[in-house]
Amino acid sequence: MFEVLPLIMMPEGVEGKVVEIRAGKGLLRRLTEMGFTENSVVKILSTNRGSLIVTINNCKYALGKGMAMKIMVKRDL
Amino acid sequence: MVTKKITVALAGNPNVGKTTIFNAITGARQHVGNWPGVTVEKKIGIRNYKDFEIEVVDLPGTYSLTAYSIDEIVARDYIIEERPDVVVQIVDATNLERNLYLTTQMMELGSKVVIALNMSDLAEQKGDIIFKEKMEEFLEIPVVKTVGSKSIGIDRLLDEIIKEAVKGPHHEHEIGYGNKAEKKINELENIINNDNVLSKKYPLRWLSVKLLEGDENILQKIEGSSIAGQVKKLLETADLEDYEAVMADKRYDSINAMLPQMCLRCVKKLTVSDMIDRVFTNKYLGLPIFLAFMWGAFELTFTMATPFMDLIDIVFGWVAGFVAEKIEIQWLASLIADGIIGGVGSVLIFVPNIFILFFLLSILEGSGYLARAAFIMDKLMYSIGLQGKSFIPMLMGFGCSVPAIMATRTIEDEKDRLITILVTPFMSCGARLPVYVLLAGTFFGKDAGSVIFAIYVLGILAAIISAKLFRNTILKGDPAPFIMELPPYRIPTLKASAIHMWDKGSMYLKKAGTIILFGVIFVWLLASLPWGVEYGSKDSFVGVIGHILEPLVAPLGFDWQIAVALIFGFIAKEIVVGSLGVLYGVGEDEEALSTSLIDEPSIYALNALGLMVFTLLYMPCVATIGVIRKESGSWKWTVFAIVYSTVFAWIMAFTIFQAGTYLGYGI
Amino acid sequence: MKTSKSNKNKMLFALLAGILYAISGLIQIVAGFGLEIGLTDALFIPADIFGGFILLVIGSVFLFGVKELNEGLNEGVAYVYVGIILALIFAGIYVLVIGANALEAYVILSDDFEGWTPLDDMKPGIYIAIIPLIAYFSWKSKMSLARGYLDE
Repeated sequence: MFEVLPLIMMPEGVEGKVVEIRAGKGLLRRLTEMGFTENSVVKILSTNRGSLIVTINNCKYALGKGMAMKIMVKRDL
Repeated sequence: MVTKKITVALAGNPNVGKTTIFNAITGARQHVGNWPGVTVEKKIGIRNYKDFEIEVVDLPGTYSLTAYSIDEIVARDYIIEERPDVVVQIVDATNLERNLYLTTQMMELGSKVVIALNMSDLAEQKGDIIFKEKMEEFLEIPVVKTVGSKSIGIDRLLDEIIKEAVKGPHHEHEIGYGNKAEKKINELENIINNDNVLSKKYPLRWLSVKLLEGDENILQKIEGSSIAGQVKKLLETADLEDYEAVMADKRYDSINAMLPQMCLRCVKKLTVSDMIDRVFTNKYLGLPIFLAFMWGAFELTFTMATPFMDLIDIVFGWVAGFVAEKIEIQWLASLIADGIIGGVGSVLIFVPNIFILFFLLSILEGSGYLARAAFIMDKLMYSIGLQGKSFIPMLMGFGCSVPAIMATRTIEDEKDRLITILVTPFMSCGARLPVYVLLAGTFFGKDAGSVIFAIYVLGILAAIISAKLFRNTILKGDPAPFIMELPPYRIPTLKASAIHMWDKGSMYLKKAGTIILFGVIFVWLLASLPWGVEYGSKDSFVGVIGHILEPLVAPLGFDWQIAVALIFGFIAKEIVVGSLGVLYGVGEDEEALSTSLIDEPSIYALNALGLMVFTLLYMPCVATIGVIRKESGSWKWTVFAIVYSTVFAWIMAFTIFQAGTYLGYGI
Repeated sequence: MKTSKSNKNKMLFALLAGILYAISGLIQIVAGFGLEIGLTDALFIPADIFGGFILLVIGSVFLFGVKELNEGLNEGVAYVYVGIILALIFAGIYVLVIGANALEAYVILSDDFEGWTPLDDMKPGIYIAIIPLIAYFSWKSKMSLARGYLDE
């Protein structure tokens, strides 16, 4: 069993796989450059007011919550 | 018994207990099918409750209402196209922040929303404290705590649904996307408004927001409409990718600003700003604290300004005397002393007031408090057809209409802004007070205080009535929803406040130097010409004009001298007092004027009251008209302001005088 | 939830300040309506409805804090801190008013201010503020906006 949900909805510390990025071309390119590509493993380290810290491919990023809404991830239940 | 039908859509994130609520409402009366054209399950149930037949439609669970999945499009299209009477959003109380994202989007859709705060028992076990009332206050959406699995709160939810369904149009808070995006949204709204089909079918703001976000589904919808080309052209010039991310972030910003107020433990740490907001937006303390601040600002403005005003008065008096003495040519001495120095001086005397008021307002604004003040006042202002932000200018109007009208710049919505500009002059400014003090003091003795207070109240009522009137006639529509933005508190810096004060204050100074100087000379000329007449006498032009106007003001019980004084009052309203002095031949000494007015047969209690009311309401002074022109950007509205207020004043004074005479309060 | 020791101190302080402000506010309002209460002269309580209203508001903020702290809500300290700030802001306003009036009386020599002394403008809003002033200096480090978060 698994569910697909926006990255922002993921609980902290749980790993998920990127399945889709629901953004227009420019934003998509930016996120792809950061390493948000299909099947890469992503984890939320901490949620803060305003932004969240995530790791993807061992890189750490601070991500706006709006952007995190657009990254769909799959997690196992 | 007639049963009324209500359709209700159930929306919410996946896994928030939507199905349990659906079952709890409808019981066994369910029907399962598919949404047209797609393989998404559609469940409909019916429930009879009180006098109503409630049809409940279960929408697919979605995290947001973008157009990236079929579920989302189905949910969105149903809400927009089928227009259910009420949308119930099931919110997982244990995870408020994430659920509120959908709420913000529902609100933008313009539907009536009721929140079912589900699993509230779990949230309480977890230690979250959710303030239901605060949620209702911030979102302006009714909230009902439910526990779907135990059918708790279902009846109350149904009650709220019915209440919302039968209620008229509603008022809601909305997300602000920041100046840059708001400007584009505004432009898009204006374009779409020209298309009758689209503007009827979709909520204007929502459509514009979605277009700016580059929503493909919406772009398809406007394809082929009359304004498709225009919209595309506008969108081509904008960097949509940027907007898309910024706007999504703004939604979270707004949620983050509200969240700590609605739920104490939902954020890990409360910032200092959150803590301060708990006090300043407190249901019971918010308004009193706000009033206390305003009182403090005015107290400070007026007492701090007094010594400086006295100083200016002394200096101008001295200069005028000096000029009158030194300049041999009599007409020139009169022009400079009576006209220019007297006139400009009477305006400059308000400079300390204005500078201090602006300084204090910059402090309030810089600290972040003004945004909260608008929030606190929003509900009250909405009931008179204005929005929260209109309150500040109207309040400032008690000081001086000029800075007050300049302060309307913070109102984004054009109609709201225009109405605020038009009604602000009715708030009785400081310049009008001397007129009341003299007349009420002379004719009403120990009741003077109450009479003056009543005049102020009348001014407020005039503003409220006019705002309602404009809203229902020439500037139809609802006040723009107040946009939620609560910037973090900061300690305002002295320097920034001083700069702000100077920017605003110097605008007033420039006006005093140009328009007013011009007006002053003009009136002086009218009062002194033709050659050789006594200043302001009945042979002067102004006297002639007064006589021409006399039949117009006679029904109000005014004679030609009062008409002339009112013309002078156009320069600055406090001049009415001084002019009466000149015209009744006693000079400007107030005590002498007061005694001579009592002896003067043509003015008595009843028409003095009429004169006070007329002074309160009739056309704004020249400086105010100047800013109205500048801020409204149109002569049409400026002329309208002048005509409307003068006619209003005439009708009020007429009513008072005629009714008073009829009741035997005449001479 | 247990009330920590430092919160207990704050609660006691807020109770004291709240009662003082609320009572002197009420007396000022009552006096403003023309009812004489013996103490008004000795305590420099002016007959001033609006001024009384302000003191009452400040008092209520403190008392709200007491209520929340008493219920075990640590977040109630916000009311105490904001109450302190409000008390100091309004005391500051009153001091500035005295300054402006002094200018009138001693520099401009205005007729309206003949025989004026600073004591004429003394009021509870100024002298009661000494209590929150002391509190401010002892909790100053906790009240800074720059810290971003309030932990206690």
